[in-house]
Amino acid sequence: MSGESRDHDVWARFEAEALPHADRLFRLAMWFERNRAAAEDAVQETMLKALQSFHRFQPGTNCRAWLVAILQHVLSNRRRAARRSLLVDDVDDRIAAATPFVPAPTQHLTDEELLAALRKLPESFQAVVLLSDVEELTYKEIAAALMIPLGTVMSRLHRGRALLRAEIGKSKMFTTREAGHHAVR
Amino acid sequence: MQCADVREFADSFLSGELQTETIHQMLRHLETCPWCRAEIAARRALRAQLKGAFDRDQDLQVEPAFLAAMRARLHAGAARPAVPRTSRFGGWRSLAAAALIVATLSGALRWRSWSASVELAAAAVGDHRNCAVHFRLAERPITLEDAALRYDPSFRAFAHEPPAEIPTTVGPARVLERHVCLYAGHRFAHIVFEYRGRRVSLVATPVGRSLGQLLSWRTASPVATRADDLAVVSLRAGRHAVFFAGDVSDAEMKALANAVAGPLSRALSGT
Repeated sequence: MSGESRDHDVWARFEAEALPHADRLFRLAMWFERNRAAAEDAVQETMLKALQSFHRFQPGTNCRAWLVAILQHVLSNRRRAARRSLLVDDVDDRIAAATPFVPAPTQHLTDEELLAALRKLPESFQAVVLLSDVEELTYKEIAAALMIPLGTVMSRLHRGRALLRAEIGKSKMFTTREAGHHAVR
Repeated sequence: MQCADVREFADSFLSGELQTETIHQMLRHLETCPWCRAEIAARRALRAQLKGAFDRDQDLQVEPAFLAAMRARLHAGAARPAVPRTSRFGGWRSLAAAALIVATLSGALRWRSWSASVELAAAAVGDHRNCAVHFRLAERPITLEDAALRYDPSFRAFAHEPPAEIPTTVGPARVLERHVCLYAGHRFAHIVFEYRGRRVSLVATPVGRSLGQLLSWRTASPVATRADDLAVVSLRAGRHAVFFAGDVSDAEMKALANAVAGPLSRALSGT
């Protein structure tokens, strides 16, 4: 196969398998960067790295998980460059370890309330919850993407979800009180 | 299995991460425990809503224009891979070709101006290759407005000129993006076009009074040549050196430069 046709073949595979995930990658990048230009840069850098190393992607495996892992590395490098260490630290783990059982909320929640509650979690817990519940990655894929042990993924997920339910509970309690207050007035 | 165990394993159960035997034990418990069934159902609903909320949130939606520009840029990079490492003389060849451009352009130049022009033209070709095609710059591009405020107000003129779509004698050119980037020590206004199915760049930089006087560019008419297998057209617009570079034919590149030159010179004349 000539170099040109090989390049064409790589591009065709990349376009079919990797590019369709760009919008999901952007949502993740935008969630963590909170800045459109920075998120676009991160996604573009991710896709460029993915294209350059597409020969390493194993066909038949989860391409989105592979891209998410690259994106997480890109975001992590950017944070390091900005001297923002967002890896989970001991404080986060101590918070998590102290979380009691919290039942799932049964009241109606708006999307805004739910995302606001998620924002209140330590960022490392947001990451595992998002990669599991939104991106539907397996625990093993999350461990690879975040470069943490499988056991840590499981414990952070367990605690992260409990913290999320607790935050929702707090916000709903506040909303109920507010509503009650207004009703009395 | 007790209720406490079910709560402990509930999320792994929903993620399909439990072993078969544990799943069976959970299912047996759920058959007889309405409280745990309700808890599992509530967690499943919360998870579904979180996914939906994330997907629906307007602030997290990608701009289609960004996706299109990124795809085009990646495609251009894939279609034209980096110069192989064995080509040790690539840089030298490129510089020699760029020297030819400027020599053609400026005729009998004094040595100092010739040297400066060669360097500038080579940088313009390099910027096209590294920014528009391969997207590998040491420093992140900035907006025209940022560059106008921080470096030179003339960069602002490139925000609207050339316009988003330029008709030429061989077909339209469409602007994909505009920014200012730094390459080889030169700050270029960089406009990337989709033209004749290729990625083509306009790179322009204010050359300053001293270099402007040294360069004997007496005409704003575009002059075409080839450098490093690319069609390159150079012209003067106001106090700016303007280069068009891309993988199209000389005639096609000149058609684009002719369509852009007049209005761009007028836009830059007052800057």
